Amino acid sequence: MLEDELTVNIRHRDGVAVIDLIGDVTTFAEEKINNAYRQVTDKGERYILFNFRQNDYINSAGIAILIGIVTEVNQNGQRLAVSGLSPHFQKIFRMVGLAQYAEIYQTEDEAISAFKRLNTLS
Amino acid sequence: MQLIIPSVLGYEVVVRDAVASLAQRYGLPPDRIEDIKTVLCEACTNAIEHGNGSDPHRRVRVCCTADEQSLVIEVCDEGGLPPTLPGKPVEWFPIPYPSRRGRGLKLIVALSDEVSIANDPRFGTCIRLVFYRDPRSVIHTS
Repeated sequence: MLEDELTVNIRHRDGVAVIDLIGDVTTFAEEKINNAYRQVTDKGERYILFNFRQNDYINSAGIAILIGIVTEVNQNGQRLAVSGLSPHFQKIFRMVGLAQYAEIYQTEDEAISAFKRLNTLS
Repeated sequence: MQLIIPSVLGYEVVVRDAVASLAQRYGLPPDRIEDIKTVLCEACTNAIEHGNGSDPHRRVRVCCTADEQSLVIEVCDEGGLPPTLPGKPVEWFPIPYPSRRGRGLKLIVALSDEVSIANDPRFGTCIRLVFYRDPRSVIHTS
């Protein structure tokens, strides 16, 4: 009733599966985030971007969901990046170790450019 | 300022916004207010889920006091078993890690200037969070 329910939207841009996460990333978001990840993985996507909204509420349960995703990303040989995080949540992601497994970019455009460079090199 | 909420997830956001407003008027910088918001949400979520077992009839009480040196926030539930706080500096689990829980308390300790837990005989378990106006001026005696 009180939570800002998460809206998850999947887009494709320049060979990258962009998963927009709009709203609160808490325990209530688990099914939606995991379903979105499963959907892009089932389609064989290698490059995945979680695109956040600056003012999102991400708590430790949400962080745990994302840690579960990075574990699967590693196992599946995919590359994951995140964009749109506020400076505070960039700090949190670095603090808990998520940044070691998912590159952090300020904007979606920066992340897409980095994936393009990666794709050219590989 | 005192706020009392039912043990229903989502109400922690209401408390967060009220305390963030107080912290802003108190003059804390925006990055510290963001720390307070995260810490407070984690403390309230713990009180709701673990302290009060998500029983909507049990209450969580949040009490804020501010003076020239610090903003102090107490989050109390009606439970009886206080959690064990991790030490500071916090050691984070490596990723991947089999357990997906336990990071809430670590965030609380990592982002607060001081944290302590006590059993309040009138209410239950209380976590006391201190945020200094100027953390550099704090003299640690322990």
